Parts: sequence; C-alpha cells; structure tokens
Amino acid sequence: MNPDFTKSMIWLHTHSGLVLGWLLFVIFFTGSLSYFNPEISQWMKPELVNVTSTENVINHSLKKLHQVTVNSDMWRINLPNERTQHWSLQWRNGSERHVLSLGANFDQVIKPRDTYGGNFFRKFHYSLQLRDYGGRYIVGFSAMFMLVAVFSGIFTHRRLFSNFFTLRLGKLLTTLTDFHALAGLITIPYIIMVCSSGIMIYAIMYLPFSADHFAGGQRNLSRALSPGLEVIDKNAPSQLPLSDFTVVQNKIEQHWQGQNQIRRITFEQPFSREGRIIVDRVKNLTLSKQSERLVFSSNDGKPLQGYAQASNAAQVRRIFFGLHEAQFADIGLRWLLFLLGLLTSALIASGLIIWLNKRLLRVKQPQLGHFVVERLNIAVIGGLPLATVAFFLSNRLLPQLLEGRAIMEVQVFFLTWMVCVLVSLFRPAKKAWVDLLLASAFGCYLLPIIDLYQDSQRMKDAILEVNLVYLTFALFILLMGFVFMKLACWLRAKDAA
Amino acid sequence: MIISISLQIFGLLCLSLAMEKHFKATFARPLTQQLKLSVKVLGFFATGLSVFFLLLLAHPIPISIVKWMGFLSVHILLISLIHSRIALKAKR
Repeated sequence: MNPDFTKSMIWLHTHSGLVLGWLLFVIFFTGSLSYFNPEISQWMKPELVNVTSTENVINHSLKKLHQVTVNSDMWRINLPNERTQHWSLQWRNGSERHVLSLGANFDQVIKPRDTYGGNFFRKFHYSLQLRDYGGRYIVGFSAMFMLVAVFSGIFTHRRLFSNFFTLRLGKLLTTLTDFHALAGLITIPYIIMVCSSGIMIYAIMYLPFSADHFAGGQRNLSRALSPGLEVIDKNAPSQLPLSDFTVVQNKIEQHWQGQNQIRRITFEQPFSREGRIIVDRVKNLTLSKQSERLVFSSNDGKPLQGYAQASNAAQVRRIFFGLHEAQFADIGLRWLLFLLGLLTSALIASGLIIWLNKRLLRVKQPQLGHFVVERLNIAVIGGLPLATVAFFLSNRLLPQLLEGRAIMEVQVFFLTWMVCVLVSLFRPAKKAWVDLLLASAFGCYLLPIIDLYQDSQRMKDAILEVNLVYLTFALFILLMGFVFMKLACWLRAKDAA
Repeated sequence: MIISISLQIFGLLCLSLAMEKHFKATFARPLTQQLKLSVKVLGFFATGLSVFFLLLLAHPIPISIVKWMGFLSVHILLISLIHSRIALKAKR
C-alpha cells in the first residue's frame, strides 16, 4: 500500500476522531438510550398502570371521546402496549390540542407526572437541544465525519485483520488499543447503518437547493414523494361518528391476522359526513418507519380508498428511518442494538483516551492541547453518565406538582454536567475520574432505594404483574452502579500503585 | 433463528481456532497445516449454513438479517474475550 496514502488515512482518522469525538460520544450515548425511549418514559411516569389492549378499550375510548369533545377536527386513540403501557386519547379543535391518559378502570383518568421521559434523550441525540439553532445540521455533519473516521480507521488499524479475535489484557494502553481496533471492526456494519440512516432522515434538509430546484421547497418535495389523502371539505354536512368500532374491527381482521394488530386510530373530521378513520398497524412486522394503514368512513365504517403508494425514494427513506429507530425490534434485538450503541460509545471514548495517553508518553511537559483533551475527556466521558443518573434522580425527587417540572429535570441534567466540567477543571485528572465514577455509582445505587422509599407498592406491583420494563430498569441501573464502582476502584488502585 | 445463531457462533469459534496463536493458547500444541485447513473449512461451512437457515426459517427475513448482523458483532466480541482470558491464563 502506498505509504503516503496510509499516512493520510492515519491523519484523517486521528483528526476527524479528535475534533468531533466528544460530540459523537454524546450523540451515540444518548442515541443508545433512545432505543428504550418508551421504556424509560414508562419508568419515569410510574403513575401509568398496566392496561391490556382489547377491542373493549377502543369502544371505551370512543365513548369517552363522544363525552368530552364537541365538533373536534381530529380524534386519536393511542392504544397501550407492553412498552408504553400508556392508553391515551387526543383531540384537536383548530389549534387547541388536548390529551387524556386513561387507566385500567375505564372511567379512571390518570395524570402522569410532567416529564419528557425517554424522549429527552431521543431529541437531544439528533438536535442537541439546539433544534432552532442548527443542531440537526451539527449532528448530520458529525455523522458524516463518523463515516470518514470509520473508513479511515480500517486503514489505520489494518494490522487487526492478522490479529483478529485478539484482545491483549494487561497494560492499559495495549488493552485499550486492541479494544479500540476490535470494537471499531465489529461495529462497522452498525455504524454505517446508523450514520447513513441518520443522514438519510434529514436528507431533504441537508440538500435544500435540490429540494428548491425539483419541487419548490422541502415541504413540497416531501409531499410529492409521499402523497397523502385528499383534503376533507370542512363545509360538508355534519354527521355523528360511529360509536361501536366492531364493524371496522371485523374488516381489519380480514386484512391483518393475529392479535393486537392496531397501534393507533385517527379520526379526521369525525363530525363531518366525509370524515374518515385511519388505522395504523403495529410496527414489528416491517423495517419501514411507516407501518400499514387502512382507511374507513368515520360514519358507517365502510372501507375507503387508502394511501397512494409512496415513491421508491420515499420508501427507501422510510426503511432507513425504520432501521435507525428500530421500532420493529423485539426486546432481544433492542438489547442487542443498545449494546452495539454503547460499544460504539466505548469505541469513541477509547480512541480519545488512546490519543492523549500516547502523546503524554512522548512529551516531558504536557502542553495546553493535552490539558484541553484530558479535561474534555473527563467532563464528557465521565460527566455524561452522571448527568443521566441525575436526570433520573430528579424525576423521583422533584415535587410531582411542580410548575415546569419537565424543564427542571432537563435543567438538572445540564447543571450536573456543568458541575462535572468544573470538577474536571479543578481536580487532578485521576482524582476527577474517580470522583465522577464514584458519584455515578452512588447515584445508581440511590435510585432504586429512593424509588422503594417513596412508594414500595410500585415495586410490589411490578413483581406481581411481572412488569419486566420496570424490573429490568432497576436491575440495569444497579448493574451500572456496580460497573462504575469497579472502574473507580480499579483506577484508584492503579493510581496508588 | 436459534439454529442460525448457534451455527454462527460455532462457525466463528472454528475460524478463530484456525488462527495459529489462538489454537496454541487454547490447546497448548501447534496447529498443523491439515488441521488448520479442516477447521477453517468447517468454520466457513457452519457460517454459510447459518445464513442458509436464516433465509430458510426466519421470518420476516429483513428483520432477521438485522438480528444476524447484530449477533455477528456480539459473538466476535465474546470469542475475542474468551481467547484473551485463555491467553492471559496461559501467560501466567
């Protein structure tokens, strides 16, 4: 191989990884948590109760909507499933939107605590809380650089192919280098999938001039690629929507075999004679973001003409979108993807630590650049897990009826992270690592204890109802606490030696 | 899916043992040329069979392929960890 080419690849790998490494770590870490977005949301809203989706649930939803709404433009019934356990009704009058959460007892209205739940991590990983300030462009740019770092990494760590399945345990730097190369190699398919699909989701936004040229704007292009249904005439004569869903349910069963195939039911202009019902199927049968949909009349339940087939480009984009979000994944596959996400975060973290340690071995006196990288490593790699634990703790500790509670949880996340930055700046590096890891471990152990102390019935119910979401969350947090503790003890022992 | 995944890890294990240093660390004897070829062929055959069973039995296929790829990464990591533990023990 041309030595100049190899050198260029090493340079590219080092610098693309170094410049955007911390940002990529944050994106991958929070993105991995997003695989469990509904589960995290369920844990963060313990007021939700176990509701099984049945035909009865739909008819009770319709009864409730008939009771509480007059002349709405839209009704929506979100059916509960194991992941969300959230049965909610939505309706809209013009720009006025309403949401109602229901419990197992059909007349019971539930008011879950105000929280962004797992959605905070999902939104943060693609917009960095900078949605109106170019956050999505920054993340897209980072995803492109991640692909560059992966491909240049293949040439940088080319010796790995002859040392495949090798991870030399012993010296920290050797182990880290082997781990970095191995993790890089085995996560190549995952990284390519997740980065390219992430770019594809906002492809229209990243190529605005093409959208302007071909369709006169981004929105028009989206509409042209995936045509929607005809607009309903708002002046059409009024008619009450059906109150018994059985007639529609029977027709649905002819198309979709199996139990609990409905995910969501939307009534568009329910009080109009031209009103319609759109039924969305569950997503676990297709890679595509868009599951199958059936359309019926909202007055008599007669089948109507459905959606026109989307263009090939739109279908490809939907599959990439679906692959990125992995809504199709069962619990096993979701854990697998979550682990691959964490492995990618560890890959990035190990790359940043290797860069620093290799250079510190070569110089007698560390320079400003080394100081900056060292402190950023501590603040980001050590600080982000602590901020995440603090976010979960705030969910349990902030008063339930506090005004602006959801925003305060996010503020706790960022304030904790800010404290981590200060710790990394003012404490000696090794002590700062140990402090942050110990604090994360302490937070992880504290979380289930607080949960039990606040309401021990929650845990009892979870055990009796075999609520795996709730129980797994508690177990995983305890496991993470153990991992943080072990790491901190190992670092402290190494420092003392 | 279980058959496919089991064949996959068996195939990867064989392929890893077809490498001289891993074989030597595991069995404390050198790898002969004939054995190397046999283990390699067995490894590729098992992996190929794993793909065959995936396409034959798993449903829906696109989702199963994603699963297969995910398990591939995790299995390589697992086998690497096993070999590294064996090598560390042999060293001590």
